[in-house]
Amino acid sequence: MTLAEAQDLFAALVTGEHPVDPAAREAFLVGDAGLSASERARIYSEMYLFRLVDALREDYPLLARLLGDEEFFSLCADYVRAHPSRHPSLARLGGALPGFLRDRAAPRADLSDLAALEWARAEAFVAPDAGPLDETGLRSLGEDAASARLVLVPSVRLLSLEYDAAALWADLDASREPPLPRPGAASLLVWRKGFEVFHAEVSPEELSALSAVQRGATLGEACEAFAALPDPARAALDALASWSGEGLIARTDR
Amino acid sequence: MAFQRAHLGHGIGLRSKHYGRFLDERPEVGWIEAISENFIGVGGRPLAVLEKARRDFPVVLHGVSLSIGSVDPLDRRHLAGLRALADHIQPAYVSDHLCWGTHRGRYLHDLMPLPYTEEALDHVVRRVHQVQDALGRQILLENVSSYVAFRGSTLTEWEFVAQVAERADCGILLDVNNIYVSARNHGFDPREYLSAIPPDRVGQFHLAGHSDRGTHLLDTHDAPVADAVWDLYAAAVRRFGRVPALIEWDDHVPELERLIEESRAAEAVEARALAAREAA
Repeated sequence: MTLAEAQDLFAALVTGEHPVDPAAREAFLVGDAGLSASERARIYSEMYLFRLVDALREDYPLLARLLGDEEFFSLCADYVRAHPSRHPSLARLGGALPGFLRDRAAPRADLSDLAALEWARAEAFVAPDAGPLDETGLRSLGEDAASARLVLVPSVRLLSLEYDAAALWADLDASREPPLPRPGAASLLVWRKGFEVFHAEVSPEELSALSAVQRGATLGEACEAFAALPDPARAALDALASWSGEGLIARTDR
Repeated sequence: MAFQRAHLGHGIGLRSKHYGRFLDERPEVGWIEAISENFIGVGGRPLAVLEKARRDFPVVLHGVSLSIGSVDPLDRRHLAGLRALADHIQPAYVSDHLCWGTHRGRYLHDLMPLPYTEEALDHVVRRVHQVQDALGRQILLENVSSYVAFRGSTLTEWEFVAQVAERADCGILLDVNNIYVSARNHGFDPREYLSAIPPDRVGQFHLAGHSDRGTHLLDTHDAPVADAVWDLYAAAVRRFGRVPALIEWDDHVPELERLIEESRAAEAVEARALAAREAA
């Protein structure tokens, strides 16, 4: 048997995703009276799933609390079958879980939004360091501000949610009884300041301005998001002051 | 070519439970080992902790996802990230495991055993050269605990480990607990294993706890080092001399003081074994 064939067969035994003929398994692995070949292979298949579920629990502690151990394990087992790990770091395994939850019948309608918030916070926690630009740096843009492009710090995540996931997050985080799902569009901004991760609800206009900045729009173009408000210039200035104050701006690019 | 052993003494693994302590203080440890994948491409608190620890101690970068024995292509993006981290941290060593862990693009996140064949040997040797070229430095490969053996194996594990190191010109991270665990699971003599390993290739030891599941030993890293592993460590010190040794404790991680105590215990075992070696 070649190395490639051995790894195909062993991976099938470990993931349990492809049936393996017991005779092929016995011809492949050494078993003994104390521990048969199939029992030896099972040690790996059990560890495989437990390790992945443990990693997902690290990133989704509140979703795990809400679902309980059994339901969370079963969700994760289905998830890793649908989304096998493609990254050397286990910390990246859970990125598709919010989308996976959206597409499947879940016990609560707001699970996907809660997961999106937890994932954004987990990513923000370890996002690369950059900036932030201080107020002087921002003021130095002067009259060219409208044509300048801002670069946001890498931790910034923007979420458009359908449920009040922030309230659910807060109750679970404080170990309170979770509220029933509360439908209603919510725009959430997630970012890291120093070592600490924050999230806050922002207006849909501010979220769309930040999203334009992230896509590389000029400040002038991004601030068109405020055009429909009664005082667009004021709204834009307030937003900029808040971005600068919260350390969201890494630098300016012209 | 040869392998140059570093002189680090006794260290402990850097685990997130103790990040605050390493950030705020300078704990009484000789050196630390950090899991490379936890720090590649990241910033924030984890990177700040590693940078602070590096200012205070020698650091070893120990990987879990190199997958040196897989027939999948090497993950070049991962190697570039590892090189950037190593260039930044300037570790005493970069190490990973003599195993495979990727299959058709999927990371299995476990240390899968290799069949010990000439084909696997050639394959691993070729890839170690590629990795060392990509990183611009020698690496150390660690023997893993295993629960299965392959009927197709034509070499013993110790022959395989020794030949990889000699032919690929890399170092060996000898995990004493893994030798003990595998010896029990497969019924070989751990001292025969030690005696087949070339002393000038051994750059580091690992020591850890395991758990006895009745039918087999499981490499759980969730307990103190077992007495039998201390004995094997003493035998390893008598054969290989003064080698940097690290306490690994990954699950039910105790307070830092307990880990430091365990590394002091290793220091005492080493001192006694070195004295015995001197006397012999």
